[in-house]
Amino acid sequence: MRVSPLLIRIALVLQLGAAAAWAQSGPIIDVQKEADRRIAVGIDKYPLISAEEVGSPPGDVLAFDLELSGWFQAVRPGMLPPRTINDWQRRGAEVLIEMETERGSLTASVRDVGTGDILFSRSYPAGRGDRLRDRVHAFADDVVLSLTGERGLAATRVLCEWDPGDGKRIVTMGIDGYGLRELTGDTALELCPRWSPDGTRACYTSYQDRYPDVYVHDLVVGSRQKVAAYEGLNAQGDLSPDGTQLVLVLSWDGDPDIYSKDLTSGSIRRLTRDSGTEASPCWSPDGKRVAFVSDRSGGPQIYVMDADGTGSQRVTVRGSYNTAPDWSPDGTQIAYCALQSNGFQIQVIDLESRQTTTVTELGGCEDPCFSPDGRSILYSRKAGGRTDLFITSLNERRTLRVTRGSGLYTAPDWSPLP
Amino acid sequence: MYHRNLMTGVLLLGALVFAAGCGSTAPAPAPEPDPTPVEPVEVGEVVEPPVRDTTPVYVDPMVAHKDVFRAVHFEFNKYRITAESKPILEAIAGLLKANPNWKVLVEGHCDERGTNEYNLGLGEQRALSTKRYLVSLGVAESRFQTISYGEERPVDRAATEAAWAKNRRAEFRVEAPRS
Repeated sequence: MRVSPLLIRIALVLQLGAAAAWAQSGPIIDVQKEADRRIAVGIDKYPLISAEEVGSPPGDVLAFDLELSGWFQAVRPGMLPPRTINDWQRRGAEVLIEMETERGSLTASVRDVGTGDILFSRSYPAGRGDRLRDRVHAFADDVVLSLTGERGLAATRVLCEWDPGDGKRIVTMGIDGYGLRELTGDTALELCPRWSPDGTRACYTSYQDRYPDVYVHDLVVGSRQKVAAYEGLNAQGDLSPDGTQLVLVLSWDGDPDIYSKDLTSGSIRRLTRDSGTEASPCWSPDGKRVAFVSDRSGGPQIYVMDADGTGSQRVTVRGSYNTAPDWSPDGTQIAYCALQSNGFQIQVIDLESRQTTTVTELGGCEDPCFSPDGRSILYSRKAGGRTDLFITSLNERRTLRVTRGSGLYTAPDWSPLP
Repeated sequence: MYHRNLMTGVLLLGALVFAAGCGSTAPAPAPEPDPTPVEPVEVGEVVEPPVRDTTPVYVDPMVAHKDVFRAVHFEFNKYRITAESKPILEAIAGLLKANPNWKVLVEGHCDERGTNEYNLGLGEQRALSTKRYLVSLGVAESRFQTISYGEERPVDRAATEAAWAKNRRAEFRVEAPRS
């Protein structure tokens, strides 16, 4: 019987005191050393759990969540469902998920397929108003945390544009594309959504009063405030990490430039002064710099400047059309959309080494956004008359599809961890 | 109709204020005769209330001059005014100068090929360069507003060179106060 050294470590540590052990002794698996390897997790169909109550087949929800974390690879039952733990081991599963519900309460555990030991087990009682699906998400994140010491992403959310056929509006949904909800119910065109860094507010552009204006929408209270309605274009607002400053594009002075607005005092500071087109300002995670797009050298390229508008530097030097920058959570990389010979692709550039990597292959990819853990990119891809959201992991280039419903999904932004 | 009634009302109100102002310094004027008494309407009688005037305060000169207010088109990823656009803009400038109370909204649009975010800026540049050209021909800058729709409002949704060329455009919306 083959038992990986990794699982022996899991089993040893967990026998000392289950999930509490990692909190005292640190992560169970050294995730840095195991970054190129996923744990094969057996995920059954769980026919006794109501797919209607979960919203999708429960095994599918769990498989998406665990694959999304980047630390797991789902082993699914297929045509000949495994009956025993030995069947799962023959399919290559290293651990197996067991789940059952009783009156909406979820009890779930992870079992080591090699030893038969329970590695983690917990009950998620019903009645706090959340759905059964949310309890499956909570369990998935607990599995990730207890086996790797890293936080899972199952409870994160997406803001994006959604066009059901009569124009774009801003919606939120779970990171698995489930539970789509319109933010305003307005029929006016809405564009360019961004989360506030604490996840409690959304910033976007709306044409509700005929012209493109920038709004900050309190997602807890459900009310919004118009924060920029100057002559010309008001668009692409992004809130600073401390939530007090907004960078945005204004064209009142004759062409689109980047400005910052202090939301407390209302004062506006010009950050660029070019006759060309400036677009897509985006705060660095430390709030000291702003990435943006400018065509001052000809075609649109990615630039970085200090938060006061000084020290502007060009970042992308290859290609004629590089747009839509987004900083990695650690501030060392910028993802952007690059026009290549095979269409628009997502690329990542390391700000120190200036090394560029292309994340996507198929073309039609736009609006990249880093995951909260910096290990994946969320983006939109236009193909075959649809535009959907996808997530691609940076180290292995594994791709998960997020949206499957009707309409077009564009300009996604990934929420911070809750 | 509505406007005329409103104006009459304003004039009457002015006359009343004037009369009241005079009252404090001049001797009390002779009481005016009562206005013609209104015939009381009997319950059940057929009446003809005035219909609410729903015509807009502004009229749309585009309706009468759509042959002049034609869209102007642009090259891919460019916002400079082309040679083909110049005679169109000269005709528009002439009509605007002859009607100095008309307000102009210039809408900038892009084809679907660029990225959404960058196209919002490019559409604004197309609206602004169109405005600047009309200003250079003598139309007052204060009469303009611009709006960019980026690639969100195509006139042709086909993914062909001909459709893209139609979508890269600046359009006009013109409003004139009702006289």
